[in-house]
Order: sequence, then C-alpha cells, then structure tokens
Amino acid sequence: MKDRWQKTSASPTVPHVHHGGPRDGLTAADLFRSPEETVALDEKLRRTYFWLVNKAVISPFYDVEFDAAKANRFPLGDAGAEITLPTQPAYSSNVLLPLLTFAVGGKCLMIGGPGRGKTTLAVLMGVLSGAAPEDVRRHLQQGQPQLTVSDLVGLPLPRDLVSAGSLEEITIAWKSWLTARVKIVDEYNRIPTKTQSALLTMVAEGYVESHDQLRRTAPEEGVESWFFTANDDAGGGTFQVIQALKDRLDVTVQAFGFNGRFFDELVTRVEAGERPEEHVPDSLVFSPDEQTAMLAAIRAVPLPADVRRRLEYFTGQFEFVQHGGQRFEYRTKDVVATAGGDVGAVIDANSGADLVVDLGAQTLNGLSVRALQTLILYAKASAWFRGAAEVGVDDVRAMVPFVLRGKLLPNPQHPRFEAGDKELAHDPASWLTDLFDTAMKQFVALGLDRDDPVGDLLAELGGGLDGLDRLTVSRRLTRIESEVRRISKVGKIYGRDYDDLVALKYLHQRYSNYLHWLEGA
Amino acid sequence: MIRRPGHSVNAAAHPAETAAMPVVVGLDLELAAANVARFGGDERRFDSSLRAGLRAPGSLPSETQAVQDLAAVAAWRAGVIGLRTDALRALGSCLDHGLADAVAAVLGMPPTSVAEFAEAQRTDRFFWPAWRGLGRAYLIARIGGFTGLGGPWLAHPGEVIPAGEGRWLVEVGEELWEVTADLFGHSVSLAGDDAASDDTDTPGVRVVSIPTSYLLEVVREAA
Repeated sequence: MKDRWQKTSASPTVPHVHHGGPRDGLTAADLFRSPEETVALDEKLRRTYFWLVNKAVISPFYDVEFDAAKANRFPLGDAGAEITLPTQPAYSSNVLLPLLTFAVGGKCLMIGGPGRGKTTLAVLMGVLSGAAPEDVRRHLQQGQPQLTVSDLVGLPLPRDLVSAGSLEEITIAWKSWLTARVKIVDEYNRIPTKTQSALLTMVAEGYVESHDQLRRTAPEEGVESWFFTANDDAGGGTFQVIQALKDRLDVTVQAFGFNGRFFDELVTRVEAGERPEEHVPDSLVFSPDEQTAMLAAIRAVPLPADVRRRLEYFTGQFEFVQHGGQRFEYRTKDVVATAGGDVGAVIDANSGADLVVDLGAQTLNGLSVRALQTLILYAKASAWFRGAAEVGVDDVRAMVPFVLRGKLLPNPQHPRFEAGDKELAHDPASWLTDLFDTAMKQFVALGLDRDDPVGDLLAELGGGLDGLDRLTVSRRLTRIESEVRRISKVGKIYGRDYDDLVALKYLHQRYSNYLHWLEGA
Repeated sequence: MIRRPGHSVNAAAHPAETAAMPVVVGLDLELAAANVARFGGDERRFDSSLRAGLRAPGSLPSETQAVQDLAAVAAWRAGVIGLRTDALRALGSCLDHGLADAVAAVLGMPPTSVAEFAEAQRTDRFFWPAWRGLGRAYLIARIGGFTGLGGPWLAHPGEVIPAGEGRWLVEVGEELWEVTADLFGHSVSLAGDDAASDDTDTPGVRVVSIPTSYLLEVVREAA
C-alpha cells in the first residue's frame, strides 16, 4: 500500500515566479536528473514546511502574513476582533519559526499547554537533520525537578573515581545527545536552577564541564539548533528560568490548539497507530552539508539600506527614558534598572512627552545587541524562505513578535495596557506587531523615508576623513551643530532623538578631533 | 475565440501518438520527458520529436552521449528555452557525428537545411528556413496571458522595453516582468531588482502589447 505520508508539495511552491521554465543555464544532463537532485535548498525548505503543516502537525493557523495593507478584513463579534484574508501566502508561526530555527541554527522556545504538538515538532526537527526517530526521542532531555547536571551531561566512571590520582585521570561517560545537531529540552521550566546553569553554558558557550574536563557540544559537521518547550512563559513552572538562559533563546512561539474541523486526520492516525516522525520523506531530510550551505545562503541575503533605516528607527525607540539620569547619555532605562529603580515610575514621571506618541514609554527596557542580531538573521531567513532576493520590511515585521517576545518587556503602567487595548496585556505577539506598525507609520509621517539628515551626515563620514581640508570639516561641524540645535528647539525628546543626538555627538567628536589634528600638523 | 500563447513554428506540426520509445541503456527517457514539462516545454512534442530522431535512417546512435545530445535538441524544439545554449552545442555535435538525418527529424526540417539552420541560429534566434525570404511581416509567437486562463498576468501588459538579444522588460500593472524568447520557446518571470536593459535590441523583431489582449505578440518586421 502506498505510504500516504510520502507525498510532498509539487514544485514550485512559490507562485508566479516562472512561467515557461528557467530562461537559461540548463544542460542536456539536467534532462536526466530527478527533480529531487536539482531542487534548490530554499524550495526544499518550503516543501518541508508544507509537509509539516499539512501532514505532520495539522496546523491550519496562518498567522504570519506578508501583505497587511492589501488583505481583506472582516470584523467579528463586538469586541474588536477581525479576521484577515491575505492575498499572498501566509504561514503558521508554530511551524515556520521552528523550521527557520532549524535552518539558521538558532534556539527556539515553544510555549503552550499540554498536547499542542510542541514536542512532536521538536522531534520532527531532529528527524529532518537526519537522525533516526528513536535516537531523537532517546536524546530528548525531559525536564523534571530532580534533573541533575550529571543526568544532563554524563557521569564520571565509578572505577576512575576510586583509583584516579587527579581529576584529569577521571574518564567522563559523556551523554551522546551533547553532540546531536538538534537538541531538545522538554519542559525546561521544570529543571532545577543549578542544572539550568549547566544548560546555559552549553547554549551560550558551546561546551559542558564536569570534573574539570570540557566537552564541546557543537556537532562536528552541519548546524546546531536547540528546541525548548514550556507550558508557561510568565515565570511559572516548577523552577523560575534563569534570565541569562531566557535571553539566549532566539525566538518564542506559541503552540496552537487542535482545530476540531480536522478530526478526520486524527481518527486516521489513531486507527493506523502512526506517528509523523516515523514517516518523514527521505527527500525532506537535510544532510550536514546542505544545512551548512543553507545557513550560508541565508546569511548572504542582502538587507537593503531603506529596510535597515526603518529597523534602526524602530529599535531606537526603546532605550531612552527622560528622567533616567542626569547626563544626557545616562538617561536610559538600563541605568535606572541596574540602579534598582522602578522604570515604570520613571517613565510615568515624564509629564512633558506624549505617551501615545512615545513608543518607548510602552516598554520597560531597550533591546540587546544579541536580540538585534537575531532579528536580522531571522528576517534574512524569512526572505530566503519566501524566495525573495532581499529582506523586505514585511520580513522584519513578521519576525518581530517572535524574536522580541520576552526581550522587549511591556510597561504595565502604560495607559495602553491599563485602559486601552486590554487584550494586548496578555498577547505580546500582537502588541509587538502593533508597536512595529506604529513606528513605521511615524517613520513615514516624519518624512524620514525621504529626508534623513543624520543618516546623510553619517554617510558623509563613511566616505573617510583622508584629504578633507579645514574648511570642509568646519562646514560639516556647523551642519552637525545646526542639526543638534534643530532637535533642541523642539522642546520634547523621544527615543528616536536620543539615538540621533548620540550619533551627532559622535560625528562632532570625529570631525573636531580631526580638525585639531589638522591644526596641530 | 480565446487566443493562447504559442509559437508559430509549431502551428503546422501537431505531435502525434506513436509507438513505444526505444530503450536506451543508461538514459531514462521518461524522466527526461517529465523534466521537459517541468522546464516549461511540451512533453508530447519532445516525445514525438525524439522518437522521430531515433527512427530516422542511419540512427539509432550507439553512444549514450549522442542520444543525450539528440534529447537536448528535442527538448529545445519542444520549447525548453533554458536549454538553448546547450542545445546549439548538441546540434553541432550531432552534425559532427554524422547524425544530420536524426537532428533534421527532431527539428522537423529537411536534412539539407540543418547545417544552415544551426549556423543562422547563432546570430538570429528566430530564424526558421521555411520563413526565409517571406517578404512580409509575420507572427513568431504569442506570450503571456491572463492568470485565469493559466497565464502569468492579472493585468494587461503595458510598455515593452528591449533588454537585450531575445529579452524584453514588460510593465504589467505595478510590476515589471522579464520575457525571454526564441524560435521554439519562451520564459516569463518577475524581473528582479537587478533587471536592466543592456541596450541591445533584437534586429528585425518587435514585441507588441495590444490593449485588448493579455498576450504579447512577437513579430518579425517586413524586410
């Protein structure tokens, strides 16, 4: 009997890219190659996505959309709900994000109540990396309150413990999962704090230590990815997850429940006693070389200057807080938080700025460089997965709620959460998307898509200082000072101005130092 | 009448059902036929052209490489434009190996015309011996079409900009599309951001958009 699991999507999975086949580059030998041999890696990843979403986990939730402006919208009920019908392909986040994590070698946290397919998806990622289903299940680390560091990494041989004269003579029986390409930690919020620290060393540094001996945990070939599951993302669970470990997780994605309209498939599985991870088509398994090539291709997707500028504007909103410190440079949320202050109260004390306009007032913190790097990498992965030649604003927008969840923390005292859209208080993904959309509207309203004086000044400096005469440098210094004066005259300062002013001071320093050098010479 | 995309060179020659394909050790001709369809060609035309070539007097070539070359020419004849460069190489190779009758059967022309055709195709991608000296303008191909009828476009094609030998950029609604064509086949794809005209025209050939049609017409102007 034909295995119903083996059917995969026909290529091409991206519509309207080619009519009439490729325009050049084929050879006679291509006529005699099977489609599986010639399928491009991005196409293979898309086919894997469609197999996962249509066959393996049955997830008809298409919440990652790429054409928000053109989608048809239908209001539902009397509580402001609406459903959108996009005109471009949309994707299911709880499958797409783990798959992109597999592609980029990231770390994905899947959250949701029991029985929502989190562990199944993680195991499927292991099988996609070429491991046997039973090995993936054997390597899966089940979080529980008695899990020790030895349970996690391995045991010293008892013989050596008795006879060894020094720690170096003790042989450690390392656990085989440590070098697996896909590592799965189930219910990580049930792991004791000490064991979490050992896990952090593996996740952050790529090694484990036991009895003064080290073992690298990165696989010898291919790309390493991590999958964590938890049924709580708000600090619950048996043990509080240490913040450093949470910070290392690249994306957080919510697992959805089962849609009752797809019961027939569930019945078939019960009757056949089948598990999807045992039926992954061979054509969807990625070799170590393919994974390495896939990551290189994703990293190579260009991020155009206009998209980068929008990203800069968005991320620049959050670090600044008006009463954070005395010196201008110290007026940040991090300064307040590290001094033990109440960031929410400090934001509230700023009576001069419009809390609706000031997007930074909605968050208790700014963004780490690690989070920004992750956002860039996942936006590239999104563009590559969709077959785009470069990253678009839509790719960044699509990744924001998953990359920044748990990293950009909402300010519960902000009127938005207290009296406004109350649903946003417990829907961080929608709140983050809304934050991004509002920032993009502001960007256009301020005319920054057409006119960016600070960007122009930075680009000018990017041309180098060599050969500039004193007159040119003086003119540029005057332009910098007039730009600072222009912002100063507005009277109100927002996060976007903080980044610009710090950059202007940097430019002023570079030029004035150069001018001193010229005058000294 | 609904007009469909197609090439005039195929107007008189309909692929016919014939007997089973000869077995060629080391080559999966059924896979090749499936790939022709995947690369945008006409699977049935490939099938009939290749059979004709393999049945021609003095054929069945004994070497696998020769059959592979013949298959490349047949796939090109069936509309796989992506094979054009390699098919012209394969055509020359077949002639060098004394397979003029076989390639003539594949292409659907007299054996005496094959060498001239191979030579002329290197400078004129729309050359066909039977049209030489026609003395009037004629239609070479219709390209594109409405999405609802299996074509690529939701809007009428607008301005057409020559972008190189056998290449044109076409404005369709708010999008820019790239069209590549030769005598036997064409490819239509969304133009990438790097798509640019290299100011090379295709001498004597125009691509015309008609306000009442979703199809573009490739026309040879009167000499």
